[in-house]
Formats: sequence, structure tokens, C-alpha cells
Amino acid sequence: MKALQDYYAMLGVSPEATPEDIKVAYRRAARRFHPDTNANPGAVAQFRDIAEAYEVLNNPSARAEYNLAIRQRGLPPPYFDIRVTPSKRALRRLPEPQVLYLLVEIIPNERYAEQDQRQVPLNLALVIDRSTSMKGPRLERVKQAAHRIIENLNPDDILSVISFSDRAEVVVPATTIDEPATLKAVVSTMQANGGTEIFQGLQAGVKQLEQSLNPKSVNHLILLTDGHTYGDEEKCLRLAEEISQQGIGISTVGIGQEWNDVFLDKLASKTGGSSTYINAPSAIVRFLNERVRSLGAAYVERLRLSVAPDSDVVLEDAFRLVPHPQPLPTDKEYIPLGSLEKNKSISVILQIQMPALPENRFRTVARIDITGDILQDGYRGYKVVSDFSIEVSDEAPQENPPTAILNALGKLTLYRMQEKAMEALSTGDVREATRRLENLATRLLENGQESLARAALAEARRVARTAMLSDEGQKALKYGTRALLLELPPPSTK
Amino acid sequence: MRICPYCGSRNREGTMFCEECGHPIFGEGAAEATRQLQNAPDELGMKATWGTARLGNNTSIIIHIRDAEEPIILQLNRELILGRLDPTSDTKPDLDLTPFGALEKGISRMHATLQRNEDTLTIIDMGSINGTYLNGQRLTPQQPRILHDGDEIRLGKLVLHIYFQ
Repeated sequence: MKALQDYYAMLGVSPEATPEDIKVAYRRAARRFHPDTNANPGAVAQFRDIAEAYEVLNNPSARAEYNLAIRQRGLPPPYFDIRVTPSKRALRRLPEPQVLYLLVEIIPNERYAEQDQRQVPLNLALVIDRSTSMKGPRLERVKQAAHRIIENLNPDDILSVISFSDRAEVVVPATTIDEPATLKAVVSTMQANGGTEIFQGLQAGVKQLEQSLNPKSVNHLILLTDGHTYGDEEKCLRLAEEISQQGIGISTVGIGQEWNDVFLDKLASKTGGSSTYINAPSAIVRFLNERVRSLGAAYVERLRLSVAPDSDVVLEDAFRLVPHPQPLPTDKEYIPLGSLEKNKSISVILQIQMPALPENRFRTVARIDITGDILQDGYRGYKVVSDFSIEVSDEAPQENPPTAILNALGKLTLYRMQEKAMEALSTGDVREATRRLENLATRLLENGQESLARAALAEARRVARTAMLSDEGQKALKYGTRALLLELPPPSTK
Repeated sequence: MRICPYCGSRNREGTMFCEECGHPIFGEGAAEATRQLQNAPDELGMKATWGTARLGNNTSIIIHIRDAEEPIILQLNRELILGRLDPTSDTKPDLDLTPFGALEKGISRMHATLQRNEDTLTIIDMGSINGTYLNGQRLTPQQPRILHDGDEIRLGKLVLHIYFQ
């Protein structure tokens, strides 16, 4: 059922607000987020929500009906909370733009996340690359991993297994786990042969998932590949967009050196899923098991983050820190974040540009909301809204930012430096790329990351000589710097 | 504008790591380069996160109201209502903020409650007109939030900080 929304919170008024209070609050909020004055993508979503709330609260009989519904059904309990921590508690009055970071944490509320054995059924499709390059230890490990997954699933989970090379083959059509032994035997028969056409595999996997789509399950597709797909990347990305609307998540796993990391990242981020790099076949089993376990521990699915800055504020960058470090798109109304596991907060860091600030006063910065579907209770569209404001003052103290933000940004900077080096290279600026890689090596060394520093230096030299990176080096740097974010203690352990 | 002391490039105020070379530039205004050299190295060191949330048996709560001379020190056993005393009203807040400009700063009669749970302290906005803000984030009425040592609370336009001792 659709979750009952808290319209009073959306407008920022108390439940006892007078009709006049409500009109004033609406006008203020509408001015902040109206698409004509606010170009930020997230503003559209906020405006829509605020308009919906106003329509009900401004109409006396609708409001009375709504109040009755709250009394009878009650607003949903706080399944999760948002905590927003700024890099500064007050901003200095400056005639030029300045940068503010916001650490947004989505914190599961243990009281409402059922602790006992997994209640939520999985509807899982494994889409496995069986191109010729997968022959040998790679495919063997994947089969092993699939066996372990079959062993660990519950009887009423649904599993399908698709293998693909030039064409897709449904190895195991969507089924509950009635006969694990038979399923394992069938999986063992997969053979490696042929090219790589990811779209075929994805499409087949989606078809299997669609047979038992259920808002109360976690519907997920895991794509495993070691190569490039040719000519169908756009089709895959469009498919991912569509299934994100249907509530299906995609996670991607790239094995070895030759797959297209930019593409797999994009694919996974369309749905908030994870995108991972596995170098050694031996890591496949452990990783896949952990992924499936984590999917099964979700109690909120289809989480979406919406950031609506004020019209003179710009959201420049968003990055998910934990549990799966990944850059996030900032050009959409909603940023998909995937699932929320009990006991595991999700943290996102936002980089915001504040405009020139001529006055000493309090001002609003952004409205942030998180929406998700609560699996155990079947609430769809449960939403938590947070309105963030900050003081502007000549006397803003020069204090250091919170450690959590500092640590996260330090590591994120390393990842970004690696990205900028790649960008420079892609535009043919060899000198710039070399310089950036050398800088990165220095910073990595200062952060105690010796082997990554060596890799950066090696790539810097290679680029200077040949104007190219090695596949291996490039992936090691990208995923190595990303993985540094996982070494951070979660921000809210206190 | 902050000048990176390592590579000289300009960065916007608020950036913490130089966008060009990645070196840390937070701390005492890297733009004033001479001042930075005079500072002791550990002034650039990291302060702890804004504090613990745990209250022991003997922990006192210290409230520093902006611009007030003396902090308010309390031993909080159960709950404390913050607000503005109105002689004509039946209910009274436990901590009257009138001496701190409550009326001009838009503080409601019953604005917010500090509540002591076993070993944590929470704050609850009581449906105030001008809102309660915790570290900049506006609280939803009636929803408790855990307080940490050093947190900044704003009631309407009145800013205060809360510490545990």
C-alpha cells in the first residue's frame, strides 16, 4: 500500500497550523522550488510534493479527511532517519561563491528493521558471460559461486541463471529452490564459447525476473562479464533505466582487465546497484556470496535520494561512500541508491556551491528527501524529508570540519584525481595526464598507499612515453582509490 | 579564495583539498599564507567529530547560549522544556529563555524539550512556529533526535551549543 505521507512536514508546518500559516508556508516553499526559478533537477520533485501537500492541507474537508486517516492508520513509524552533517556550521559572508560539503547518512532504525531471520524473499537473476575468454578458472569459479548461492538461498527465493555469449541461454528458468542438487548440476554444464553481447544476456535475465516481480521482494540482477560488448551499450543503458522504474536493481561485476568499467559503472548506477572489479578468480565466490547475502538483508528497497538546492545554490557533485563507493549522477530528479540493509548506514557526500553571501543571516540551503519501499510492511514510497539551512556571519569560526567529512573527502580526492588524469588523457593532453598521475602518486604515498602510489607512477611514466595507460594499471588505480573509501570507519559509529 | 600553499592554484573558500594537486588546504585560511607558517602544526590537526552521545551517571549538561556571559549547567534527570515564560499561560517552560531575547528571536512558549533517556539525551521540537534546528537541520515536530557533545541547537533565531561534562 502507498505510505501515508506527512504533509505537514513537507510544508514545514505543525499539525495545528492555521490556514494562513499553511498558505504562507506554501508560498515560501513554492518560491524556493518552482521550476521557473530553480533550475536544479531535484527541485521539480520537491515542488511536486509540496503542491500535493498543499492541495490536501489547503482544502478544509480534504485536510479533515487526511487528519482522520492519520489518526486511524497512523503515520508510518521511522523506518530510517536522515542525518545531514555540514563541513562547516556557519559560513563567512563573502562576495564570491564558496564550497560546502554535506554528509548525508541514511541510518536504519533498528527498532523497525526486523532483526530475526531473513523475511524478505529474493527474486534473483544471475547473468553470466560465457564468452571464450571466460574459459578455465574464471568460469569454474563462477559455477562454484553459483552453487554456493543455490545452497544459501531459502526455499521460497526465486533464482534464474542466464549465460550469454553471442546469444543468451536460459540455463535455469526462474524457479524456487525446490531441488538444489538438480539446479547445481544444470549450472555445471555451462561451457565457454563465443563473443560478448551483454544486451542479449540482460534482456533474458529481465524476462525471467519479470515473471515473478513482487514489490515485497528484492528483485535483482547480477551481471558478470570479463569483456566488452559491441554496439549495444546504449540499448543496455536504456534497458537499465526502464527496469529501474519497475523496481529491479542491477549490480555488475567485472572480471579481469578487459571489460568496460565506465559502462558497467553507468549500468549499475542507473538502479543504485553496486559495480565491482574482481581481479582474481578466487575472489569471485566470496564476493558473489556476500552480494547475495547483502541483498537478502535488505529491509528497504528502491531507495532514491532527491536533492533540491535553493535556486541560487548548485549541487556540483554527489558520491556514495558506503556501502558501495560510487559516483552518483546529479542531473536527475532522483538518484537511485539501491537497498538499505539493517545495521548498515548508507552515506553520501554532496559537494555544493553556495553563491556570494551578502548578508549576515540564516538561510536555507537545500531540501533533501529519501524515498523507499519498506519490504516487510509493504509500504511503498515511504519518505523522509530534511530541510538544511546554515548561518551566514562575519564571525563564523574557522573550525576544522568533522573528521568523518575530512576523511571521506581525503579519500574521494584521490579517486577524483585519478578520474581527472583519465579525462586529460582522453582529450589527448598527455602532459596534463602525466602531471596529474604524478601528483596522485605523491598523494597516495602521503596516505600510506605504497603499492597504489607505485602503480600511479608506473602509469605516469607509461603515459609520458606512449600516451596510453595499461588496462591493468588503469583499473587498479580506479578501483584501488575507490576501495580506499571502504577502509573508512562508517561515519556514525559512536 | 584560498591559495594552495603547495601548488599555488586558487580554490574556492570551503574546499578542503586543492582541486589541482590534492593537498589538504583546510584549516587556518591557506590564503593568508604567512599566518599558516606561524601556526603550530597541530592546530591544523583534526578535531574530533562533534562529540559523543553517551551520558554517564554523573554527566552534567552545559548549555552555552550565544552572547550569554555564563553557561547554564544542569544535571538533567528526565526532561527539560525550553521556551518563553508567559505569565498569562498555564504551562511554564523549565528553562525560560526570555532573558536571552526569546521574544525577538521567535521562541515559542513551549519550544523544545530536552529528554534524558538511559544514556542518551534527545531533543524534541514541540511544534514551535519558527522551528528547532540541530546542526542546521530542521527537526520534524515531535520526532526525537539524539544529541552529541558540541551540537549546535537553534530555536527560532537563538543559537546555543550543548556540551556534556
